[in-house]
Amino acid sequence: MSTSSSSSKKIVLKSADNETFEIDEIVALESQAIKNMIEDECADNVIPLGNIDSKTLSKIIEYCKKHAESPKKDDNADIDEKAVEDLKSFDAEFAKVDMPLIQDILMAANFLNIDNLIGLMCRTIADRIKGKTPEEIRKILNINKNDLLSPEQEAKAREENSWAFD
Amino acid sequence: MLDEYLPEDIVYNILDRIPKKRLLRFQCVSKHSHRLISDFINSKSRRMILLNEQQPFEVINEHDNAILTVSPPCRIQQYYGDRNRIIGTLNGIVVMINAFDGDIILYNPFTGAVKNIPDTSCHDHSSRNFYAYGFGYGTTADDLKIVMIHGSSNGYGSYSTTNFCDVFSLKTRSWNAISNLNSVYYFEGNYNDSVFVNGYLYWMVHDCRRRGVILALDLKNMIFSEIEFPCAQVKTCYLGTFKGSLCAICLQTNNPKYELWVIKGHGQKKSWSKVCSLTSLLEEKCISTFHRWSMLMCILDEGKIVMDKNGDVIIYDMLNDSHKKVQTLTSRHYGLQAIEYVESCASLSL
Repeated sequence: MSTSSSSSKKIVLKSADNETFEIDEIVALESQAIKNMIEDECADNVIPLGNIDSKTLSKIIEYCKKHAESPKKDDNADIDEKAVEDLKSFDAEFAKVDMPLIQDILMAANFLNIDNLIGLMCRTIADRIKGKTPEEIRKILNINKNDLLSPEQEAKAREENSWAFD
Repeated sequence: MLDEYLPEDIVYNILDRIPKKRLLRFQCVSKHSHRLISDFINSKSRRMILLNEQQPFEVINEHDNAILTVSPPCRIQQYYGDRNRIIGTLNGIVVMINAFDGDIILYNPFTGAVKNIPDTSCHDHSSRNFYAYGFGYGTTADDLKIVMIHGSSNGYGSYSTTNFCDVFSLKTRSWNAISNLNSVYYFEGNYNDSVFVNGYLYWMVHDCRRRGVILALDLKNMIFSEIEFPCAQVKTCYLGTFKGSLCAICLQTNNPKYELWVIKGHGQKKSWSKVCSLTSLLEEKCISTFHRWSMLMCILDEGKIVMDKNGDVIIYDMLNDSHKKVQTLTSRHYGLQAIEYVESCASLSL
């Protein structure tokens, strides 16, 4: 692997609100989408990301940096247990953000095709709503009143799934 | 997460991480979530096996070895040791006959929903009458029909002079008699329930000359017809589906092996072809010919049989000629029925 030589190469990402982020190429390669762009040589010096704002993008870069630095599972059979634990607690801390930001990160991770981050965000959302009642979920997800079931429909849904409410 | 702008694969990625039982109660969060979660669960369509245990029901998934117990709602609880009779399943809805009063019940084992079909209690379920049932649809899957064929009989060997056939449409919620069942058939024992394939219901019957034959009902046109067994001298025959086609497991008098046959083609061009011999089935005494109906519980569409072997539930793989024991919670399996259904959110208020 030629990490030492490629680590010096820089990539510039530009957010929707025109903020630029200069990062090591190795960090950018965490994104499958950017990796493809670089491989296809269609990436200019600056990669514009018109649908990702700077707040979301800086979070994503933070994530990619950490994951790019950590030893990959497939690199080495006997990976450092401590490094795995370290990455786990990083992920846990990373996910401690509010719901709108989680959704923004998820959308951006999906666009940039960062598999691990998609998984982390999906797991976070699932964990947050898993134990909640329908009423609490409505609050968390800020459900539009027009989208609520009619009282009859709701009663029917509850009756038909009665065992799920045990 | 339930917002409409998240791509479907992302939403499914999230839903996949939540236990299904939890998902069901999220259905009433919003209209969108209701649709979304139904679609998600229906897209998974896990094939499950419902064991008609006394109480509670057991649901097993062969591939992940999971056992679930499902407490049937009180309307289908069982009485005096009589099990309810399972008569068929479609889209995750299982149709059962209440052992106590003969009521026909729709039951979704996944959602736990249950519903009675009206006006069946007026039928006389005394022992002199026999009832055979079927569950299927003709042209479109939303027009589900329950077929009930009945007549009087004094037990084996005596035949009623007339059979009656009534059809309940779940769409119109009404019963209709169909009158073109001209010949008289004898539906053997209690396990004469039908197999539904491609718009047709099939029953194993004996005609008035005591000749075994397969009775078919075209649900689109409501016309009965007969289909010959795949081979001559059939001693035992059990119907099911194999990869979406009607299949028969047959034992001939002059051949000591069970064979799996499948029917190919439609209408007049139907023809049987042999898939394989079930070599070890008799050697293992898995199915004793004497107790044949009680031993074989159901045929799974992927080419397997669920059966009772000395009190154990085993799944016999017809294609590999091998079998394995399935973990169950109870051990008394005599007369146990099983059915393979697909998990779905199908509503019973059709």
